[in-house]
Amino acid sequence: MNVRARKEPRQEAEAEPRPAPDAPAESAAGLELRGLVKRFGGTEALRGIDLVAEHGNFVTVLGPSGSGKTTILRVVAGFLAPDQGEVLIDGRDVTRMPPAAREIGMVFQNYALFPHMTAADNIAYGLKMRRFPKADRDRRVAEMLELVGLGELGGRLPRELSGGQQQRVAVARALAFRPQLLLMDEPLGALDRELRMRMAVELRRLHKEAGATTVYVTHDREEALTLSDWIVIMHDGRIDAVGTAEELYTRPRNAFVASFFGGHNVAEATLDGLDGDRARVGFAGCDMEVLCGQPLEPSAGRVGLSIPEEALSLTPSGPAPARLELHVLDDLYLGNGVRVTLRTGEGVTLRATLSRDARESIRHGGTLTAYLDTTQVAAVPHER
Amino acid sequence: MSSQRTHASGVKRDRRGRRGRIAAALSVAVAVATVTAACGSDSDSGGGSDTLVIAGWGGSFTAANKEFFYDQFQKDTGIKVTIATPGGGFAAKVAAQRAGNNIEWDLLEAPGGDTSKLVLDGNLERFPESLIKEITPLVADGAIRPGPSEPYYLDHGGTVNLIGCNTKLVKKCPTNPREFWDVKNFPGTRGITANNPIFTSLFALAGDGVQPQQYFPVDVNRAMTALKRIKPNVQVWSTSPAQMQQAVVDGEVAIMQAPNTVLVSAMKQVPQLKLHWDGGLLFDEGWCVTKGAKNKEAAFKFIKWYAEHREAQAKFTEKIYSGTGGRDMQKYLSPEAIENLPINKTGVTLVDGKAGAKQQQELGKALREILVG
Amino acid sequence: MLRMTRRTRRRGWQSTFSGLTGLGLIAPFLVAAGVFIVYPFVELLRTAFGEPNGFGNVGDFFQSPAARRTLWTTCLTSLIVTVIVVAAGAVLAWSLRTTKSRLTRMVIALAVFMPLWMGAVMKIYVFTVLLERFGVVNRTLTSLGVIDEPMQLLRTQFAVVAGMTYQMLPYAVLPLYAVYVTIDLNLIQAAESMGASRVRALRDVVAPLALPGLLASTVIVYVICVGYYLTPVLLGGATAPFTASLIADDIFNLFEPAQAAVASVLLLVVAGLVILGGLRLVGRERLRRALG
Repeated sequence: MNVRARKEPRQEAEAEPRPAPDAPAESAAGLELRGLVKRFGGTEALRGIDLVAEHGNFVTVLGPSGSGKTTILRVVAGFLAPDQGEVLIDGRDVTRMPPAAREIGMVFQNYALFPHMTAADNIAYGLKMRRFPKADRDRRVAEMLELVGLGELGGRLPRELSGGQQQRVAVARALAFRPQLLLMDEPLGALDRELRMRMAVELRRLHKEAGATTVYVTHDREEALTLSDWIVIMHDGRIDAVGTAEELYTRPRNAFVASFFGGHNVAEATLDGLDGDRARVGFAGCDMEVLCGQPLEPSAGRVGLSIPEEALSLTPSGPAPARLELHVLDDLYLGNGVRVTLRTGEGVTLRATLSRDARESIRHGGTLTAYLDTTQVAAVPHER
Repeated sequence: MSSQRTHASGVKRDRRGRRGRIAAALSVAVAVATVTAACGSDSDSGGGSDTLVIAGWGGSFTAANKEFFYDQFQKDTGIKVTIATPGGGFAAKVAAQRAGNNIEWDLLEAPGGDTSKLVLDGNLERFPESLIKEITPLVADGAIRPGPSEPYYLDHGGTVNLIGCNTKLVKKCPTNPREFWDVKNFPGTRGITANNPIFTSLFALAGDGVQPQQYFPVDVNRAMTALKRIKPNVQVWSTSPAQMQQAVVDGEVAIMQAPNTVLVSAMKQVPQLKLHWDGGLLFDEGWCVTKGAKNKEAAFKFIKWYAEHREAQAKFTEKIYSGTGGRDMQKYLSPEAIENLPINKTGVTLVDGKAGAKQQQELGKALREILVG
Repeated sequence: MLRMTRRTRRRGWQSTFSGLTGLGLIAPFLVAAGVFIVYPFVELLRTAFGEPNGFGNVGDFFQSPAARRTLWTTCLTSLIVTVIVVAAGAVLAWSLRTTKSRLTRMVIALAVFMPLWMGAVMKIYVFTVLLERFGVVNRTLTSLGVIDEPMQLLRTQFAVVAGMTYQMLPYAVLPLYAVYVTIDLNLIQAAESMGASRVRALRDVVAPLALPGLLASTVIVYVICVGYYLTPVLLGGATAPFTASLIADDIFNLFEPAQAAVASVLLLVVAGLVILGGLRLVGRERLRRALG
């Protein structure tokens, strides 16, 4: 499955794309991957990756472990050579170039700060490799320290800094020499939740200021939602979907995107007919018309339905609610709502998030009449 | 911590401290016990009263002793025989054992030089009168050494330090020490035995032209100068019989000065080896018993057994061409053996062990300076 | 219903004790150290500076050309061996650390650590067989026509260095490997991503981090080398032994305990200086961190 996507950056964040020093044209894409294949022994880690990211975009590559997201990063960085395909940065084919020649900045999962150098020396390292004169180096290092909010801490060694501070040094180090492309490999994984959210916002800000094309790899959905212009979902060595958070959430292309990214229920339904980009399906005794996640085979017979948890409620909602009779299996008090585990007459299990007042109506082992807002449901290809 | 202190005072306040102190006291006791046990044990080294511990010289000599004497002795008497191979320095090592009050060896295959030093140091048991009476008719005249008034070791045959020459590697063989020193006319890689400084020095004196009657007292300067002269041509200064043998067999050395037992053994693999007896030095050596040995009865028993078994001595000689102490051994030996023994050989000198022993230390130091300095 | 037969502890279990109790608990070690380390050392010093000339014994030692030359040979040859072994060990240990091939790892580990499983005499004898006048090396070279006459390989400093290097390699590889394992390999990639070549990355990142390991290896190897005894005699010949041989000679053949003790003390001083120098270079701060 090859995906090609050209998207505009998110409306609220309009970074000025900085021209690359020797780019062939203003319109060259920040990063382009063509048909990347990578095999390790017998297994294929990348099964043909195509991707275009505009200059200055912030792309999150999201996927579970083993999906190949880290492999993509290493191929782009130059630590792995692909078996097939090309990597182009700002129009230059860098596939055969060593990492040092690719003008990239990289932030590693465990930061990989040089433990025997101060924070300032760490940040200066890239500048030193590019033979910046000392005065320019010092100036730039001071700039970067200010930028990441560590102004006074340049003289400290990494082990004298907290996790969050180290992370910021790592980002400063990667950005110091103004790379065309910034790669980040799950850099927030080691931080606690509070810090992670704050750092994510910080990274957004830094990205705006620096304006480099950024590829950010993670397995955490929330990070992806906070950070990105648009998101690439990876599954099993392939790109399953590309889109903005909203598109992927409301109109998932397939069952994986629906469940992994959206966290939705995916249930089996019968396909009664297609009507342009809408499908007529039968589910739990109801007929309904829903949006298609992607063009479907008319002869499929069966489809998957992506049903968000919040699409079920006790009162009818939306223009065409479907009425379902469900058994209550379990419920969980969430503070701002209740998550209920329900079962249809055909034995399909659904999770639903209901409002707080729904609590009274819920009884274990009892039945519940719930209304499904069909505008939130999408039909996806059925998978066993 | 401090909050615990404000707790109830009571009698058992310091229970943890008390337990700790008991444990500490116990461990001190354990430590002292272990150390004393390690230091003062006298029942682990050597054998009990039914084991004979023999210090062997090594190589083919000790192996032949074991084959023809020790094993048979063990079978005949039931006394278990253990062989140690300390590798030289017998006199010094026995002295050290006596000083530390821990005699490890009962019987010694003491090589020449060591025997005299051991007598000089007073570290040997005198042969008992009864033993002397029993073995005198069975052994050659003068086999009880160094003399009738000093019966300390029984001659176990002549080992002669002589020149062996590999005719495959050199055309002209030096036949005496003077020719050995003549490197111009007799070219070839040389090896000299260096485990006993007396013999090395005497060999040097002979090479420099000194007559045997003038060997003692040793002119140290002359001997060392001669050695220095020949040092560039000496490939191997060997200190153990195994090393000597290997040097000859592997071709490291073409002309080797070594004991005849070693050279005869090497002949098996290097048939082109020829022996030259002129200038040979006959060791004054034999079986002796360490003073204060744990099992000196078994040691003397062995000496008696050895004297009584001349057939075994003959077999021994046939094997390695080393003489034995028996009386009239020619009767038991083949002509071929007699040819390779220091019997009726001109040019072989018996070395005065006592005189040598007096200068051993001085010569040892001087030799070291020549070799290493 | 459970019956509590003992009172619960008033104080929690603690791993630290009062000073006196602690002293008592390490008493076994102190006693052993006293008996087996301190006392013999004191005796050694007493012998070295006792009869016959007191502190003049040291002067006597340096009067002997043999003793002087041997001490010099010992220190110099040990230095040569140490340099070769640490350099080779650094490379081998690095390969061991970074290779992904199981085969490579096995081969290196086997080749480096095999000497540890062999007896000393066997290891030395192997080199004798190789380097003899008519040994493997000479015969191969002669038959290939590279040389006409067999070369003098045995009983040379070369043979001693070769034999000692073979035996000492594991002692360098082990500490170096232990240090390399603590170095995050991502650091090299980080350096490369910032424009460093592979060599530059190793120089800027790995070398400074590996420095304590290099120093430790150097010290360990050198100190062991100066104590060598058999290898220099068998491979170097009786004319170029190490000091340990002279010590044995003094004790067993020449009845000179004072000289033997002086030589021993001198070796200890050499070793001690090297260790102190190494500690100094590593730095007290790093040492404290390493010891935790």
